[in-house]
Amino acid sequence: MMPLAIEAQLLGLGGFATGMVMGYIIELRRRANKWKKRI
Amino acid sequence: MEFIQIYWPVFLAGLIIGLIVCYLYFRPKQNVRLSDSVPRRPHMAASHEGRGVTDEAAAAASDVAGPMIGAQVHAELPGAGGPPDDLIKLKGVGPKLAEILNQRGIKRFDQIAKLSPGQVETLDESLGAFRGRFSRDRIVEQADYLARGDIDGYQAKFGNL
Repeated sequence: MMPLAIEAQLLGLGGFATGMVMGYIIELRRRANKWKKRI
Repeated sequence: MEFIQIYWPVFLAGLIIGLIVCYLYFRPKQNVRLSDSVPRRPHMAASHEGRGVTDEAAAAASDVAGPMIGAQVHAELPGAGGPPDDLIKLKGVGPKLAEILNQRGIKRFDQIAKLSPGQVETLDESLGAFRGRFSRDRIVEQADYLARGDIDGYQAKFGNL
C-alpha cells in the first residue's frame, strides 16, 4: 500500500473530525426531540 | 482543488469512520431502572408460624429457646384482639395503606402502638410506595394516643381527628 501524503492524512483526519461533529449534532437533535416528546 | 479531487475518498472514509464511532458511542442503550420496592407476589407472602410441619417444629424450638436467650420469639405481631379500628383515622394513612396494613394483620391501633422500632423498620421497608410514612407522620405515636383513647392528647399534638 502506498503511504499517503501528509496532506492526505490530514484530510482524512479532518473527515473523521467532521464525522464525529456531525454524529454529535445528530445525537443532540435526537435527544432534544425525545425530551420535547416527553413534555 | 486538484488535491481534493484526488484525495476526496480519504475524506469520505474519515467522515464515515467518524459517524460510525459517534453512533457506537451514542447508540441507544437499554435503560434499566431498579426500583427499591420489590413487588410482592403470592408465593412471597410473609409466612406465619404453624403453616407447616417445619414451621411447627421451628415454633416449638423457639418456644423453648426464646425465653432462654431472652428473645421475643413470638413477637411477630402484637395480638389482634378485639374489634378492628378504623386505621384511616391516623393522619398519613389512607385507604390503600390501611388495606395493606390489614393484609399484614394490623387491624388495631394498639397493634401499631406496640410495634418495636425494629418491627416498624421491617414493616416500613415492605410498604413500597408508602415507605417512610411511619416515621414521617409519626404513625406509631398517633396510634399510641388513639389506642389509649386519649383523643384530647392526640388532638393537641396532631390536630383534629
